[in-house]
Amino acid sequence: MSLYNRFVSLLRSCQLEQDVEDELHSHLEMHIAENVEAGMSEEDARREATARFGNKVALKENTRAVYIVAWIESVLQDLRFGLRTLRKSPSFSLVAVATVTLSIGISTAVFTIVNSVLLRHLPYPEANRLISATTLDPRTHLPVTPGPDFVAWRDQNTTLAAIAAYNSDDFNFSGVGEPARIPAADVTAGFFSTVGIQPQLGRIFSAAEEEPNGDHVAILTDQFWRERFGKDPNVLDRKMTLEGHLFTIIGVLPSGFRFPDNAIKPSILVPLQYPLSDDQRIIILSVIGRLKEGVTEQQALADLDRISQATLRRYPAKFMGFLAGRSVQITNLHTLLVGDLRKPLLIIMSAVGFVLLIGCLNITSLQLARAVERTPEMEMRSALGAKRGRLTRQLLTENTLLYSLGAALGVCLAFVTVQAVRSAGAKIFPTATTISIDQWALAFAAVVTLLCALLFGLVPALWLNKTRIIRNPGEGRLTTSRGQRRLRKILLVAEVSLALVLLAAAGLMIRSFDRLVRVNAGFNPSHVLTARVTLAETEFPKVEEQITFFDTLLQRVQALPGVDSAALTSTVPLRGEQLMNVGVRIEGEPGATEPKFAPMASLLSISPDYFRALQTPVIAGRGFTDADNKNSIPVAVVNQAFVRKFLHGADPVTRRLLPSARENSTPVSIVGVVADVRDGGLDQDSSVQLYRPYDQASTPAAFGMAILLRSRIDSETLAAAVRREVEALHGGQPVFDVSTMDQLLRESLAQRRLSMMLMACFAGMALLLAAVGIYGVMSYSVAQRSHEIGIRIAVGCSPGRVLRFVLSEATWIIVLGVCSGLAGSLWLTRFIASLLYKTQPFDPLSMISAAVLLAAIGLVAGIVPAYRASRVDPIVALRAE
Amino acid sequence: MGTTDQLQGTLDLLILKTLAQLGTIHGYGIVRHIQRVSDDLLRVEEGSLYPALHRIEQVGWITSEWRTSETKRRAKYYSLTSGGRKQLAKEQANWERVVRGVSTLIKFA
Repeated sequence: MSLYNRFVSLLRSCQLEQDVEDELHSHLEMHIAENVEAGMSEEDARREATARFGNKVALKENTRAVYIVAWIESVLQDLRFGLRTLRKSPSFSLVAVATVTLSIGISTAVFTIVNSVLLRHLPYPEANRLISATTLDPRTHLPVTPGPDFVAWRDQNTTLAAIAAYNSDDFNFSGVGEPARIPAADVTAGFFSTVGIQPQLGRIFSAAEEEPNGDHVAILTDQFWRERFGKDPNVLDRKMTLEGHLFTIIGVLPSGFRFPDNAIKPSILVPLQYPLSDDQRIIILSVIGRLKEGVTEQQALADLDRISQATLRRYPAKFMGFLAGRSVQITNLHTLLVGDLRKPLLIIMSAVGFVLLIGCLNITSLQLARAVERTPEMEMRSALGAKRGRLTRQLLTENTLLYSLGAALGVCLAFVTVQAVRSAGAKIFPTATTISIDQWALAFAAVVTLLCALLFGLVPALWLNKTRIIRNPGEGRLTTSRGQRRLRKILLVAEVSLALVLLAAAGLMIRSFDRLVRVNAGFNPSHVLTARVTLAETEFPKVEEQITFFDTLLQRVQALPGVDSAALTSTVPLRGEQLMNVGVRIEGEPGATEPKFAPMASLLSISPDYFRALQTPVIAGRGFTDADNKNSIPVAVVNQAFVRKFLHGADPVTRRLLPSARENSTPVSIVGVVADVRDGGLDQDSSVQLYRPYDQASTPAAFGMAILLRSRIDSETLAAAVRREVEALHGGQPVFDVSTMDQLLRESLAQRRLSMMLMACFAGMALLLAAVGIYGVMSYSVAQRSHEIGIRIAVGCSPGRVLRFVLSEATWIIVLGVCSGLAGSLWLTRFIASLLYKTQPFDPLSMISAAVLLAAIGLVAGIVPAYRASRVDPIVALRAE
Repeated sequence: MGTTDQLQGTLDLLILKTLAQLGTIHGYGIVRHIQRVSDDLLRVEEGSLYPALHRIEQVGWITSEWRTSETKRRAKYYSLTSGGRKQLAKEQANWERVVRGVSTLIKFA
């Protein structure tokens, strides 16, 4: 029976059983027939035959067992033989195993990351039913959900099983260890049932605690409990001080809890104690909900929309400007939390796929080259009785062994890589700490290994079966057939193309990153330290007191030795802080009619030296001076974006603007224009900015002020000095968010930098693999054609010509590979366009440099074997093998 | 017949020899042939024959195919391969050696 039949019968054991059954049945029939012929009656004949037959079931079992045992034995034999073969050619085995290790290792690591970040479900029960709901402000399309809308949704919805609202918050924390500023979230009582978590200790908030006059209670996160309370099992009912008030701890969240909002990383949760239905002082909330069983997002959207429309009528007329024409938006929570990263991660995954493919192509072409040498061995085995199918299977087994060894090592490599990424990546994406090699990653590695081993193992195996070997007459020396050579060349060309695509992509990303880094940020981030100070309301109830505090603080830090300039600001650039937006009308400009629909600008309150500290150039007019205080006329400075938006390029100095929606607000004079500061990041245009002196501010600096210090002193010392000054002025006010502007800039670029480096890494690997491939195959080619080369030298070919002759083969491969690679890049690089900053995917410089680099490396890889060829001693080569 | 290695080898030998003599025959025919030619001294049980047939087929010394017999019955016919022929020669030589050895030993006892 051929291999095919045997496999088929093993797999379809019922077929086998049927076969055996049929055979036994026919045997029995023949026996009965003979009995009848010998004179027995039909009945007796049958009885005798059946009795003689013995136990049919046992018979079938034994027959079947023969198959399985024999099969296992032959597989073991193949494995043993495969190991021996690999040991006999150590250089090939080493290169092949190393290639597989690299490819599988990196693919598994990347898959683990992609899986953890993108595909793994959020750590909430039935997370696919969680949604984020919001109403969109009609002018800015910002998500702002007013309190009364949330209350209406909560009370009137028919599509949600649970709904909750939250806000971010910070508190001055004291009473346990050093005072600090801790991030927190204010949540409604329904938060826990919406998200679906239970505390590991204690309880959740009760409805009573949600009331505006409810108790001061708090729930800790596991991390905060560990860091601040040392995992004290008796932490419940302990007290801590927040913003000068005493809070009781009533619960601890489970470890691994992740707040369902990327922007908020709270250390504690407190109840949202605010009159939510108050429609005079409206609170803005973020809302999450859990869909009921079987309800779609569309249905929930229609439901909430209907409720919002009805609620609109309840608002007082003064808010109509903000609220009329708003729409409701529902987003699946999973999409919201990880959607950002989908594209870059998928691109990285594809790049890795390329590297894997190149690795496999490498091994395949090496095996093809090796297959020629093994032909005598194959022929001998065939002569001894091995079937063709058996040989194929043995080759496949050997290949699988190779890939399995490589894969095992690769998984170890992946493990190490993932550990590294975990620690390095914590800043860039929120779930970095949960990345780990799990059963899915292992399954992926196993499946990929098996697929590659079988697919790429079939090529040499099938080739052995089909192509004929040309024998040099009378010598037994084998040369490769043209078919085999062409196949190897095709494989190499494919490898080179893939490598080029990766190189081109890497080149594009490098250029894009380079362009980004050169962008004029509008300020000089070196040697600038920032730190935030927030004053507790209980200790500084009046705005004047806060301003006095900051005035004094500013003077004192300015006087610190080594400080060039010091300033205060309400918002620090590059921190992703929430900007305060105000509607602005320009006096004398048409359209300055309806205050409600005035276009928006971002308002920053600063001290006079702000522009000096940041080294932002003043383009026209002047900046602020100490003369601009609350006793002088109100002034403002605007940036270039503001001029473009509001004044269409006209000279703004001495114009006046009305910076709020109130009907009779005091006009403010514009005294200067400064350069645009890219506050949101280098890759984003600057926002429209309006600066006011902070002591002319009409609203209290609710989030405190940030200090900016330009100084050459190292940041640690300087930060300590600032803390001392703050402490000396008024104890117990924490100094937090301390970092240098350089650091902030680096962090804002971190994700792009990581993508670029990953891509460059993969491109480098691809280049290396392609070079190894060219080198390996050329070496084999030279070795196998040494006879031919010997003849050429013997008849007078110079070493130089031999070198060129051998090199021309490599050159052809490289040229073809580069050309098809360029074609491929033109088609494929559009997919990374979203990762590029102001760089076209068809950037000629990147493409050309990639092509040149690849060609150069390829030629170098080919030169070594070519050189060896030119050195072949014709006498040695012509001797019979 | 039992299932020890030697006896298993002997059964293989009988099967191969039968096929060499008869060319192509089905399992039942092999049983009948052995019985007849050995003058009823050797009786192969179906329980041993079929596993042996399938095992030998695995190794590749015989091949099989379904055919219709003269009596219009469907049966699985076996025939020797070239490898089987070689094996037969080997087994026969081996058997003769064993027999000679045993006989010599017994004569000396």
